[in-house]
Amino acid sequence: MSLGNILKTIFFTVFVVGFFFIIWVKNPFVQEQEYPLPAKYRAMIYSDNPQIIAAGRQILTQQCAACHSLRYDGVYPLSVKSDPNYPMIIKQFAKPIPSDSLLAPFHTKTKGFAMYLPQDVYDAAFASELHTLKTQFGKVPPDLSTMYLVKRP
Amino acid sequence: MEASRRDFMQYVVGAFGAVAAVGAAYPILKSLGPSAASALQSKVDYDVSQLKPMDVRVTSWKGFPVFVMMLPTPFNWNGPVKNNKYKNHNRDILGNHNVYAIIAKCTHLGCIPLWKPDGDSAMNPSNIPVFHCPCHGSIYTPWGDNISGPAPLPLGVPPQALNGNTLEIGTPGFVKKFWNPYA
Amino acid sequence: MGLAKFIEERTHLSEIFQSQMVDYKVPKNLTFPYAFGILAIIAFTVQIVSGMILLMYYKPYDTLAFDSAALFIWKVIPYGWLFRSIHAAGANFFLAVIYLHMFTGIYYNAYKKPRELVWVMGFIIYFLLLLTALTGYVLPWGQLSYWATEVTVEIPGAIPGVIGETISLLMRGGYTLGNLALGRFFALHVLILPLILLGVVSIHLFLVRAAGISNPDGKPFDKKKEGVPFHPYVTLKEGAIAMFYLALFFFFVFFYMKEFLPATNWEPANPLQTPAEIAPEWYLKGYYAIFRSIPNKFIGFVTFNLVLALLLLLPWLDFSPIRSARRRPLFFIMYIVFMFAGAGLTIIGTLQATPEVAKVGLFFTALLFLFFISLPIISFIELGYAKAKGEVDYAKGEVDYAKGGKQ
Repeated sequence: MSLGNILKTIFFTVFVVGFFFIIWVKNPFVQEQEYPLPAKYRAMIYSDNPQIIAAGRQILTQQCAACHSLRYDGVYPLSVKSDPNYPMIIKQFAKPIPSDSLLAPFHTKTKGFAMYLPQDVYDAAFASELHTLKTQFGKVPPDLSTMYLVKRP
Repeated sequence: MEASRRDFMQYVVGAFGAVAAVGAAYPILKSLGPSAASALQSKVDYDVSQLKPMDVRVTSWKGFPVFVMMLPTPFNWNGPVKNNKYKNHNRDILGNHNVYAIIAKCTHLGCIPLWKPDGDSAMNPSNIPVFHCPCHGSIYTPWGDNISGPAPLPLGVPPQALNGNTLEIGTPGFVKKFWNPYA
Repeated sequence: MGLAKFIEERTHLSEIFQSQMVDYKVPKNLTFPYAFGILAIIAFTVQIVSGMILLMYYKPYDTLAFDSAALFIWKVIPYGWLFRSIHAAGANFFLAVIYLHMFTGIYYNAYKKPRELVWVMGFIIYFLLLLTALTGYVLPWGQLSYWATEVTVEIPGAIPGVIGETISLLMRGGYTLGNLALGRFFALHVLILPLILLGVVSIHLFLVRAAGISNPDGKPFDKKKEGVPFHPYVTLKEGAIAMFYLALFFFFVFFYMKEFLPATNWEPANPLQTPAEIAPEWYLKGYYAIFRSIPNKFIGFVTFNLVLALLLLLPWLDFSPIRSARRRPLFFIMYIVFMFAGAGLTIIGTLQATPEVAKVGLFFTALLFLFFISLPIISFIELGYAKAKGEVDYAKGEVDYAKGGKQ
């Protein structure tokens, strides 16, 4: 291989690898906001400690579950839970999903499983409650299920 | 025989190729199998406080349909049974209990039998409660023993325990072993 | 073994293998980038197999689509997460390999006579592949899926008047992206486009064999005197390269899916709320950058379609009889310009649309067109040069290397 060939090979290899590095790994031209996670919170989010999980569930049910749903774990807003049809709909339409979800071990009725309502059933059966929430807040408080799908490694 | 380097390379590459094929096939085949949800649904709790005598409710356990039954006490049942090795098989296990669960899948070809508390004209005598399978006419006692028709074996009996007002299907209790005629 | 003999007597496969793979001779100097074609076929196969598994569990209905992908496939189905990751990463890798394959073909001038049809078929594959990626991206029905597709479907609306509106209407099946669009995109992505792709790829491969594989030096290749059997030289070499490709691919699948399953797409699509930054995927960002840089929407639309058209017409734009950038210093320089323009435009597409960025985008667009315009000019110069040295064989339309084309 002549010098010209070697130089060409190096140039093209560096160019291609560099290009894909920029668009797939780290783009130095885009200012991305970094949200550094303090170490103590990192331990909590990725923890398997049942006490931490139980504490997290308590916080969720006390602070958030009034308005937010967590469909993948069978948590629904208070107004939906107090709908007289709620038990019947859960019994008839809810399906169990296995959980490596962090909340499921504490879902007492079906040990080890959260009950999942398909979205079209949820939207149809509780349409009036959802509409009330929408007029109250401007939009239905978003479901929090996929937040932890994104965050977990 | 002297094996050449080429042969060695061919064997090695072939072996690794076989490993790769198995490695690729494994997740594909596993993904077709039962998911954790269906495989683990092995304990079902049923609240029997609302049942009345001669009631039959349908629920499901491990993918099987299940009849939860409440029989009155005392319950006299004098119907005939098939005179084979399994006669009174289920009645021996369940006869002392008035609340129990049996698997609602006909041992012939898998349909769900119908509960006939007032009897069935296909039976003789025709006024005693039986299960009658609508597909091919198999008839079972209230405990699931097969009386007549093409069914070869009694209905299945899941392990179950009675805890106060909850019938725990899947927990060994007054029935310890799973009688599985469907395997 | 008995089974092998049984099949051999009835199909004569070993004779076919011998004539097509072993007696088939290829030049000795095929370089590493020639492997990108085989890698493209491998990537295609990976997509088809992983797609077939996903197809069993995905539901193409707007209220069910997101959960079927994010919950059932991702968490319930055993190894569902693996197949979704493979398919998502695979789409990006497939397009990356196709781009590298295209650029290789341009570098070695593998579009010149008698390979013009190979190039045309390849262009059709490229275009269909972009459509396949586009229709597939909307299926998970996440925020990014929905809005990136909304943006891309709006682009034909840049054609003024009834035509633009009608095209957008037909693509979406309505005035908003909804169930009808999801349904037709699903059918296109899963069956229609892959079937057409399979057909066109087969024609492409046939044409490559019919015309013969190009030579990196651009010289004609004498099959009898110089040439190595395809098997084992090329099969083993490209097999080894394929192993490295698969290793790199599965590294991304298992350890670095952040870029291919972006966080924004884990939110169910909300037609009433647009996320902060939406743009098409990287393989369309180049065209998106061109479209954005030009203030007039219609002219922007025409411009990036012009780029596609010029790409298709490459064999006729570059009519010089000399082949391969190795022998054409002028073409080599313009090729570098082309590479920088393409890469630059893609990176511009990742940035926010500010006026300064648009200016830089215009600059790179100009460089891109400079490449295409320079091709006939360079051809003219080279034809003149070769004519002056008495080297052009007009009957064959080729440089007559026998007369000493030592360039």
